[in-house]
Amino acid sequence: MTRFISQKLRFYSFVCIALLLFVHGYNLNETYLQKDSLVNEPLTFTTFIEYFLANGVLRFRLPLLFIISGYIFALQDQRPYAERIKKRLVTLIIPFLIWSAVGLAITYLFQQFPVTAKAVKDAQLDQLGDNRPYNEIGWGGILLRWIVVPISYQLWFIKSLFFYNLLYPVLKWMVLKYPRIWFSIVSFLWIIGFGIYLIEGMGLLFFSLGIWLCKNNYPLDRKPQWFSSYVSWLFFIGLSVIKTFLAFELENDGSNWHSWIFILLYAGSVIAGVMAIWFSTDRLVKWCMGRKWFIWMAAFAFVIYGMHVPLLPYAIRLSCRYFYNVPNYRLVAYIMVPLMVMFFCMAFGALLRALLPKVYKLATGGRGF
Amino acid sequence: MQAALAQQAFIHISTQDGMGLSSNTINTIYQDKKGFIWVGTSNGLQRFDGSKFVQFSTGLEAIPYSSLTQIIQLDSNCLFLSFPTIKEFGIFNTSKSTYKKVGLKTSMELRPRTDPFIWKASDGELYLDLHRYGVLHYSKKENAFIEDNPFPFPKGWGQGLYATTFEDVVKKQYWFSGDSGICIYNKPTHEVWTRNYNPQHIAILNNSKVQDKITELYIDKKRRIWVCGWPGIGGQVRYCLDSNGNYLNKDTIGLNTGPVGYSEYRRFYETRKADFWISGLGVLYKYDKKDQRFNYIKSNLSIDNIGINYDYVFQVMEDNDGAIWLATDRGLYFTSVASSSYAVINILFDNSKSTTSITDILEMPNGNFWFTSWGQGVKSLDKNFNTVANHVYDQKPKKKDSVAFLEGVSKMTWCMQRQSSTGSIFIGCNFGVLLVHNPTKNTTEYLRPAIFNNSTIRYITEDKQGQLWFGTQGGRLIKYSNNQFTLVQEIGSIIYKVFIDNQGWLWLATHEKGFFAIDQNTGKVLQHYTAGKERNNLYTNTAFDIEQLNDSIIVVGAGALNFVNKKRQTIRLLKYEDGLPSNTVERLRVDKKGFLWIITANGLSRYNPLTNAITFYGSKDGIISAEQAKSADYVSSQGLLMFAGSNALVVFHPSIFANTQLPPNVTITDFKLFNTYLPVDSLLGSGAVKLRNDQNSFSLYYAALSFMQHDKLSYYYKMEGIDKDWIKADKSLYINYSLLPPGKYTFKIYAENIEGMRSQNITEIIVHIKPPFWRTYWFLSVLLLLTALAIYSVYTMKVNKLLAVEKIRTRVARDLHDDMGSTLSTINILTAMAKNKMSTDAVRTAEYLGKIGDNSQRMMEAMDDIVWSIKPSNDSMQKVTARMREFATNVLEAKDMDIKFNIAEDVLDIKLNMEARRDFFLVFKEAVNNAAKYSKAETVWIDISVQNRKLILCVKDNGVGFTADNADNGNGIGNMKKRADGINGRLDIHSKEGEGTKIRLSVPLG
Repeated sequence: MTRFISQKLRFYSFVCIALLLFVHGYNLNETYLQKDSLVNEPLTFTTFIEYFLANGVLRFRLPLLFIISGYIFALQDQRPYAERIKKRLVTLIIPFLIWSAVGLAITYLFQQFPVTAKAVKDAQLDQLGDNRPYNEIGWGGILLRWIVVPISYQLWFIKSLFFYNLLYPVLKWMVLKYPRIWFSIVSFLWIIGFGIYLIEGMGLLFFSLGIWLCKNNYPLDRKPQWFSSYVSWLFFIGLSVIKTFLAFELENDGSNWHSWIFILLYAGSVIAGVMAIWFSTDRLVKWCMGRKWFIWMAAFAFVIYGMHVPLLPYAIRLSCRYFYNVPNYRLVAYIMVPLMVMFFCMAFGALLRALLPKVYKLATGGRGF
Repeated sequence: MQAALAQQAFIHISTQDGMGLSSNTINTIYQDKKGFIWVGTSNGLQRFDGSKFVQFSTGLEAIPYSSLTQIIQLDSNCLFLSFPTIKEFGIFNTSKSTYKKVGLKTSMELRPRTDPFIWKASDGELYLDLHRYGVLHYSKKENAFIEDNPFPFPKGWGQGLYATTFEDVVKKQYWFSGDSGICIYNKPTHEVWTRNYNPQHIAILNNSKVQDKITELYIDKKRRIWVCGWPGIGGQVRYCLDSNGNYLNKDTIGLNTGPVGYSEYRRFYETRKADFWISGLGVLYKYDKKDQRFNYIKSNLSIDNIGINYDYVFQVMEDNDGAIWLATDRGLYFTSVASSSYAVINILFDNSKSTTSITDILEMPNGNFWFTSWGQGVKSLDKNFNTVANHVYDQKPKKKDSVAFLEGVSKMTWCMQRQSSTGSIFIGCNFGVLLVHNPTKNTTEYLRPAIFNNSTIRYITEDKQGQLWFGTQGGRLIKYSNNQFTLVQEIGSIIYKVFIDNQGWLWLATHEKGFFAIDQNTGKVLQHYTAGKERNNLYTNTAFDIEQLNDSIIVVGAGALNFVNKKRQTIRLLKYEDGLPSNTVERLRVDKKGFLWIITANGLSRYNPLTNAITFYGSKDGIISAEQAKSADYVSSQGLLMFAGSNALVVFHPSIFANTQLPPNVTITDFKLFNTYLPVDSLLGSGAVKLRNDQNSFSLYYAALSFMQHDKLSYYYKMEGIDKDWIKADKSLYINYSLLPPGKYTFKIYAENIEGMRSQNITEIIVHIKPPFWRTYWFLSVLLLLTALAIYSVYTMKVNKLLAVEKIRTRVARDLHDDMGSTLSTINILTAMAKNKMSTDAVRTAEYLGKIGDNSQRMMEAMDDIVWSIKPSNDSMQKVTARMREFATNVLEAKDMDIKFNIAEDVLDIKLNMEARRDFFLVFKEAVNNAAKYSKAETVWIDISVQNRKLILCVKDNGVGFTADNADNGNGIGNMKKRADGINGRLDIHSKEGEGTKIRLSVPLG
């Protein structure tokens, strides 16, 4: 792996996580956007932008993160499997437990004051649908929310990643032995939205793709001859725009034909987006990675990732309630609140790293030192 | 003065009101949670929203247009309906507007007159009492009434059942009535108690008078048991007993004052405030808590328009506002609580013998009210509005006067005023007669001052200085001060009213002379307003009444309302067109809160100076015949407003109309698309009304479903997407929208009452008019994407074309340089060498010249090849193969070699581009040249064919062949390989010494 590729991987790891805040920070009436979600509210500049970003163009993040993860994991084949898994326990599972507990603690703290407690209730983050104060749900409920269904729901990614790391030998064998069959199967699983707890189509496909790219020494630093930046950006943005307009203009008539259109648009946009982003932003990557402040910020990617939920949904609810008389408050909240939460997380990370470096290391799995 | 206190007013709704009621026989009524009144008529089911009835009878299974006698709420969306005449029951889903029949499964055939009665128990179970059959239970599973009721009746008891079961929720008992008396099912013990089995010793079961043929049972909130029955031939018996079996005769006072002749008590009803009603055939009683007796309610002819007429009152129902609805065989009746509690006193006078025309009102210091009347003189009522005597006429005119004349004229009273300094009552009469009555001494003076000029005294008032002012029919304004009458002003027409404002100005309302302001000291006219077309004119020159709203504004009833700003001397009119009920304003009176009360030809209204809003009050509010009370007005010391006139007196305290209740939320009652009503519940349930782009004209009907407040609400609406601000709706209760462009709209509406209070919630309905797909953003985006792709493709093609030209130019330049440049250099060198040797060495010179000639020849051939390959006319394979054949013939025949040239037919259809054609030809040329030069063959075979989408060239000879060692690896074979690569071809060379050579070129096609 060249130095530039390494820089690129770090750059996109941070960018994908930073953009995650804009995916989780929308304030549409539809509180849980899925790839085929329709929007039952008027199309305005604000609602368009929120859907376009949160459920359109920014959908490339997770596939890219899975590719990067698969690629990096496959690079370390020379190390024994057990050792690697042991390391993953430290870098994935312990941070999972820590940040899940942090999410619970933040929620509990918010539940203690009437104003913030209302924000907790309105955010409806609890994956079990029981948004009662934690005083009322008991230790069993707390334990369940800590380990199985964290209030920081974004942590499913690292749990899922750990599972793919465990499955790595199988995945590698399939990828190298029967690449066509394997990729056909996992692509199909991705398209149909297959998912059972930790195994789901998207992760399998793109983690496998990362392995394949690594093991075939695919020249990631060279733009393929057939690749056209223009066409890939056109499809990336164009399909996302079409999908966004469709989301506002189509109506759920009980049939799921619209879902298939959305899934195809989503898949096309993600594929075009991943390629457009990877192959045509080298100058931006070089510029950013040449700046100290960017490197400093990128070091806190994991803190942002671990901490932004539930902080962000609560902050969004509070800002919408208290600043509703500010013109275009929804759009302002959508842009400003994620940025503020991101800076807060970075500040928190910087403080933690400075004051309690060992704790920081444990919480981030050693990332950002 | 024979006065009758009017009973409460009933609003009558019938088939003739144009609201769409389908029949005047209303069997049942029900109000749902939204506030809609559902009506069961002899023609089926209707829904009333306050302004119109909507008939429900559509769907696959239609609701019958038959007599609907019961409407029972099944759940939040469903009503259970009973059509006894056709023995049909059904469930109507109000949100989906669907109807489903309910079966009736009986083991025996029903006998005639098995009247059904459905009742819903407090546990939600439905039962059907079939008269002379028994009790059936509704099974949801079977969607039918079946014989599985849980009541263990004594054998044969059910067959004698009457259809009037009562549930005693307090004791968890069901009371059944029947031929064999009363039967009580005690739910906790699952026992049935009758007169034959009465372990609890319930008194009524042992009562000898209620043993047989009990038809009605009711236990009220006071635990009184009301029982009706037909034990014998004496007609219906009615009892009211307590739980110990004692007869409560005091509680039934008034019930015996009811109808003469046949009647049936059928229903008992208690309101939330424990008002008690009894209804039935020829019967409607209401218990008066104040008088502690029942009042029989049925109209008499004199107050027909506000009374209730019926032969049968089927049901009494209290609505959400506390108003009472009555289902009768003469239509639907509605009565408000305000009128029932006598908060408004309507006194109507019997005009069958003489007219009681009240002309003025005066409150005496003892609280009694005196009334002047034309023809009957001064009359009095006490503060409870009971008639009392007065002594105005006790003293007769003195003998020297014209006694008969004065006695007669003194009954033609027009006005009166109490002189505050003496307490004397001045009473103005016809012919300038003035009575001065001393109520303390009960003396009366009969005066006829000459200054009145025998003219009727129309108005008397007193100013702050205690001076009395008189206005006469003849138009004189006369002052009475210090026991002297003074003529102040001569108007020349009737002075209807003299009003003294808070500045002390006198204002005169006159007949056809306009409106005057008079200086009371000088008697000069300060201001005079008349009618006219210009601004600041009165509506009409005849003014009846005057009031003052504030220091500046004097309001005059001259046709319309005329607001005179005495400081600016301007007039603002408020007319019928602006919301005034009529342009005939008769009386005005400002109450203590500053509201202006108005009597017009269309009754009573209130003007709110703060909001400029007019509110009408009619019989729904308990105001009866206000349009008759147009001659006199008064505010009592208690704040009571009084209006009186011909045979009518209306008295009320304005505070009773102060509304402290929020208006209800507005309900969208109907959605009419073009001319079709859509099921509105279903539309609202789906979250939005979704319409095609051509369904863009519709009407939204709305109402705040409070029938009490209905007329006094203002509605404000806004269609977001079109309207920027809230718009005040007119009284039509619907809004039309036409030709709306596609888009998502949100219709919002709220109600506001006269106090300015708004509905708690704004009612919203989303209307989505879908655009045609070619006008959707997503389609435009697709077009944009395709356009961008097309532009990109065109751009790419153009760039490729330029690149191709560039490539050709490069190739030609390279070929010229490679093929010609070096040859010309060689020629140049050879020429120089030949020049040097020309004089010394002729042989060498000749050799050089020969080489120059060979090079020139080769250069010409190369040039020929280049030009040939570029020339578009040589693009076809015919031309290529023809040239190949020509070349081979020339070269090989010169060496005496045989040529076997074979070209497959399909080769001729192949198109090769310029470069491929040239490379293909040059490989061939090289191969043939090699064969000619080195093979020493006798025969050369040349085959050109197409195999597996590949163009195959095969040049084979039977010459000496060669080995790799002796092969020329110079330009010959190397060039061939290079050119084969250039066209993605494959070159195979097979040769062995003595076995000839085979060169095979395979070029993929397309």
